[in-house]
Amino acid sequence: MRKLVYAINTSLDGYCNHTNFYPDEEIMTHFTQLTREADTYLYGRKTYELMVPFWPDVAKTPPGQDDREADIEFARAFDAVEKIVVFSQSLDSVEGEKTRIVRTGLQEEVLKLKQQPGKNIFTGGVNLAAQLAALGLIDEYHFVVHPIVAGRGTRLFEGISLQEKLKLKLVKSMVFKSGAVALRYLPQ
Amino acid sequence: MRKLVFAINMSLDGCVDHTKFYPDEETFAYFTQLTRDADTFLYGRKTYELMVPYWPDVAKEDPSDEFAQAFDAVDKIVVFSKSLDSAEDKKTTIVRTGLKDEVLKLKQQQGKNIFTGGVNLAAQMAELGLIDEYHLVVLPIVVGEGVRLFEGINLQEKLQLKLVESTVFKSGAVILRYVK
Repeated sequence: MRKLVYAINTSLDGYCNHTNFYPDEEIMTHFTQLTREADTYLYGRKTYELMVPFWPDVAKTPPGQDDREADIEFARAFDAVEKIVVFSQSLDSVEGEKTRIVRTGLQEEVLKLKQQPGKNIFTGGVNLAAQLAALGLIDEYHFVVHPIVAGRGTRLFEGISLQEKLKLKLVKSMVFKSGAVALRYLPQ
Repeated sequence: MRKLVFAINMSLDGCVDHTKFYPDEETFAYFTQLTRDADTFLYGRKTYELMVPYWPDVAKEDPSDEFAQAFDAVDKIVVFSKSLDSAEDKKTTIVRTGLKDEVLKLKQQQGKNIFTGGVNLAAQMAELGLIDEYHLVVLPIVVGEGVRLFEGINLQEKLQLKLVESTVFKSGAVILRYVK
């Protein structure tokens, strides 16, 4: 069965708003690698609307002088992913043939996706990720903890409903030049 | 000038409620070392009431408990509180106002580190830029609730820190040490 991998940038105090961070090239390359290991994205509406059409547009636009190589590489890896599944009740419709919307039955949908052959399923964001984590559907967690205290914003796993603490197993930790730390966990 | 050092255990999702986790021996040893590097504690009321008389009592009962012994050996405790009426022993003083001045005064005195923890007071001190070193022990758990790191902090802009060390413990806890 293929894996559902969750990755996100966070501040020290656990806030995930993407506007808090400006990942450097080293970190972008890290995310590009994770993206290349996947062939399917699973997103909630908010993260979908954040990523699309922003990154596909970057991939399609001829690179300008100021564009970072690492951003272009990320955009290309993003755009190369074959399928995007958006789990949303409110999103009306999507453009493009590789994207479809699923309205209900999150657990069944994820199990169905996992049973298909292929590379990893990759997810991000907060709301959907909280639901996926609570259902025990995430197989790998990648957090990039940036050396900042944000003080406000959307929390990691905000709104998660857990009967008991979710215990994880640290399998890798890596320090980036910027002082950000990548922490990789598996469920116990 | 001596340093104000902040250290706390925290879940992956930023929960610092001490009742949600129990640090293992390796983590306790880490806090014991930090305690030995200090000669003054600076606490808000809640953390003070959590630590005292609990740890001094353990120190009296159990000479082998290294953390308790280190805690009890610290020379001075300064409690910053408007509501705490009085403190029992001679090494503890209560300060009611002027947090920034008090901390700067303490830093100018000779001695080892000033050690702090907790949530409310730490948030105020982080806001004022008074904390010189942050030690976050990130435990490999997601709690989903509870009081959060620096809850209530009021920052005009993000506080940018510099990672100086990261260590992995056997338990999967990661110690992240930051300076201003």
